[in-house]
Amino acid sequence: MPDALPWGTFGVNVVGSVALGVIMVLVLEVRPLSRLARPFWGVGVCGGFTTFSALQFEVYELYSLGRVGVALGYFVASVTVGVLALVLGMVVTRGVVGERP
Amino acid sequence: MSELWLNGLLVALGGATGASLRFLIDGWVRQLVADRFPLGTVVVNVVGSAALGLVLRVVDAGAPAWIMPLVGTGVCGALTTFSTFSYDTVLLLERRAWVGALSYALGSLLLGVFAFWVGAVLGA
Repeated sequence: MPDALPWGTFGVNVVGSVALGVIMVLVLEVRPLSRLARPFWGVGVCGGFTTFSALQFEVYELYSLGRVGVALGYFVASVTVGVLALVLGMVVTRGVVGERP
Repeated sequence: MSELWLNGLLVALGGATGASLRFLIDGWVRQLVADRFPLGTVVVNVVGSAALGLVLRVVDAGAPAWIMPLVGTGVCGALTTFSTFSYDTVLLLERRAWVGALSYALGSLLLGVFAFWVGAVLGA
C-alpha cells in the first residue's frame, strides 16, 4: 500500500471535473436547465464525488514517506489534469449543443 | 457483503451531510466576501482536510471503525471538493488572473496539508 499511487482519488477527481465542466455549461450557457440542476448535479454529485481532503492526506503520506517529489508531482498532476478535464467537459458540451438547432 | 452495504450507507449519510455543509458554508462566505476569489472553496477544503486528519488519527488510536466511512469518506469527502476547485481555477485562468490562479492552487495545497497535519496532531 505505501508504494501504491492514489489512482482512486485521482480517477474520481478527474471524472468529477469533467462532469462539472459539462454541468456548468449546461446550467450557465445553454438554454438553462431546471434551477435545481446546479445544486443537485453540480454542488451535490460532482462536489461530493470529488474530494480534496483525501488528496491532502495522500500528499502528506507521500511526503512523510520521503517521496517528496512524488507528493508534489501528484498534486500538480491532479490540478493540471483536473483543469484540463473540466475544460474538456466544457468544450465538448458546447460543441455538442452547438450542433443542435 | 452486508458490511459493504453498511459502509456504503454510512458514506451516503456522511456524504449528504458534508455536501449540505459545503453548500451552506460556501453560501455564507460568498455573502461576506466579494466573489472575486473562491474563498468558500478554500474554507471547506481546509476544514475538511483538518477533520480528516483528526478522524484518521482517532480511528488509528482505537476509535470505532465505522467513524471512518461516516465522517472520513462521507463527511470530509463530501465537504471538500476538487471539481469546484478545478472550476474556480479555470475561472481565474479565463480572467487571465495568472498570479491569482497559481496562488489559489498552491495556497490550497499548503493550507490543506497543514490543516490535515493540525487535525492529526489534535487527534493524538
